Amino acid sequence: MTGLRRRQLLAGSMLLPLALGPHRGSAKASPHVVIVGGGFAGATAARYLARWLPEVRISLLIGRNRYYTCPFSNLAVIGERSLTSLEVGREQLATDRVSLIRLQARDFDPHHRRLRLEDGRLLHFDRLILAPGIEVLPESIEGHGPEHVATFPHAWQAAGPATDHLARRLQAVPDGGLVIVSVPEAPYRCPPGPYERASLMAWWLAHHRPRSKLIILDANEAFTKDDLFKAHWREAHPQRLSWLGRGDDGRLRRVDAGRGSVHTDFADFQPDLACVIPPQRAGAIARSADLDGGRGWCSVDPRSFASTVHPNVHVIGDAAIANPMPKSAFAAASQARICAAAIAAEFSGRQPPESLLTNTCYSLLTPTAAIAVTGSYRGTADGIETLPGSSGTSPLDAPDSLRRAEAGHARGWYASARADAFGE
Amino acid sequence: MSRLRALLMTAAIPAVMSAATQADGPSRGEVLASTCHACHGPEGRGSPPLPPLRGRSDLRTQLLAWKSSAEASGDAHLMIRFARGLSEADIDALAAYFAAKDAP
Repeated sequence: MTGLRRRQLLAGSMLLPLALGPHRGSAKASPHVVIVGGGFAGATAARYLARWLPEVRISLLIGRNRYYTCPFSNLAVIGERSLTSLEVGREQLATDRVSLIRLQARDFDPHHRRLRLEDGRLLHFDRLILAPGIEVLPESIEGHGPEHVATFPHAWQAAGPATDHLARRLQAVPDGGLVIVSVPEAPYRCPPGPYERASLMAWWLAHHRPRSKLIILDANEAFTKDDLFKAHWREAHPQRLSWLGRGDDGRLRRVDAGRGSVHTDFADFQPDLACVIPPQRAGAIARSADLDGGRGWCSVDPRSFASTVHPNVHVIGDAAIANPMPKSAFAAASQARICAAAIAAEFSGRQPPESLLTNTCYSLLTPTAAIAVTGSYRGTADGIETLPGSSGTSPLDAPDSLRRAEAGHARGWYASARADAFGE
Repeated sequence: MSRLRALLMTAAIPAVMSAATQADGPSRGEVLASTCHACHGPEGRGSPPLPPLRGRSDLRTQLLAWKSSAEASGDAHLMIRFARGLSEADIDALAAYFAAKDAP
């Protein structure tokens, strides 16, 4: 990153007339913050930082691809929601203080505070916020690899065309066929997501392929809201859906792309559709400059989400280690607000407000019934504490009316979260 | 209400600071309120069926009732748990923040 050439500087200047150069002596007055990632975390950070630090200039890197929300995409898998309804146009994120850049970041130099775009141009930053989400590792499963993802579709890294592909594969399952959903060992994005997907697929099979079966192969022994999911499966799908945990030989060991078969230590399956959700790690940019310490996820100070490796680089959302917060869109937006408040306070010469972090994950059991898990947290010098009495799930014994009400709450949250993050 | 609000403002912004720096960066009340925007709509405008929070005068009473609720059950189980994560000073700051906004 030493080749800062005049031509690159000029090219960058045309792109962002105010965004380049170290601005010595004026950094406090008009800091430049570069944000990588335009999902729930990055977009929320941009909007709240612009609100709370009026002098800030923000460059928000969102890449070239169209963007579809992962939340609610399991409904699109079963044809109960259109892909179009999940798409977010992010033009409205651009303001007089937020420049949208439809490119990806290549790498960055934390010491000289420069980020290099994929086209080679350099951006200087006073602070860098990384919100790249996840990268999937199909190649970590024997016999699997990126070239076989169409055979074993996951639609987990980004909703969109992959979601449509999975939906078509589900529709192609014959009556009497077998569907497998395999779950990687935690941590991974959206902890209840695989079980929501399996529940919705089972609901779809019950209505459209009633003699078909679904098996969940799980590399974990316990999972979020497991008592609620299992109670629903026993009641709604006693013959249709089976869950095999790690202790029941549920861990996927190998796939055979030629045959479309999947294998555990002791069992072989020949499904009509195997939705293989691969193991995951933080997006590549968050693993550069040793931000992840080789662990795949980034350690942060949860009072500001500053990296514990490079304090002028913040990591929010799925790429960060934020246990006991899950890797969810809700948690990502909550972390983004706390990160924005901390940066705003620092550049204003104030103490950051004490942080309150929150999460709620709704999971649909059917298109009209949902369950939820929630928690509130405080970031401390020693990590993230769950606040007493704040953590828990929907009641196990609840009338259908509560499950229906929570499906309504889930829709209310989804509309609100989209509007708050993306300004639509 | 205005006396309460004045009290809350001081609770929410403990440090003594100039008017210029108060204009920069969010107060504790505003950061707390942003948490509510996640479900109750940007600026607390509501996101049906989740109700609006702006311009409400009953939030303090409601949140304190939830906070002291022995069991997190029924339709409000999530809000009972959120309220338990708030201190009384937090609840005062939040209620004052939304009460001061125009109803949607």
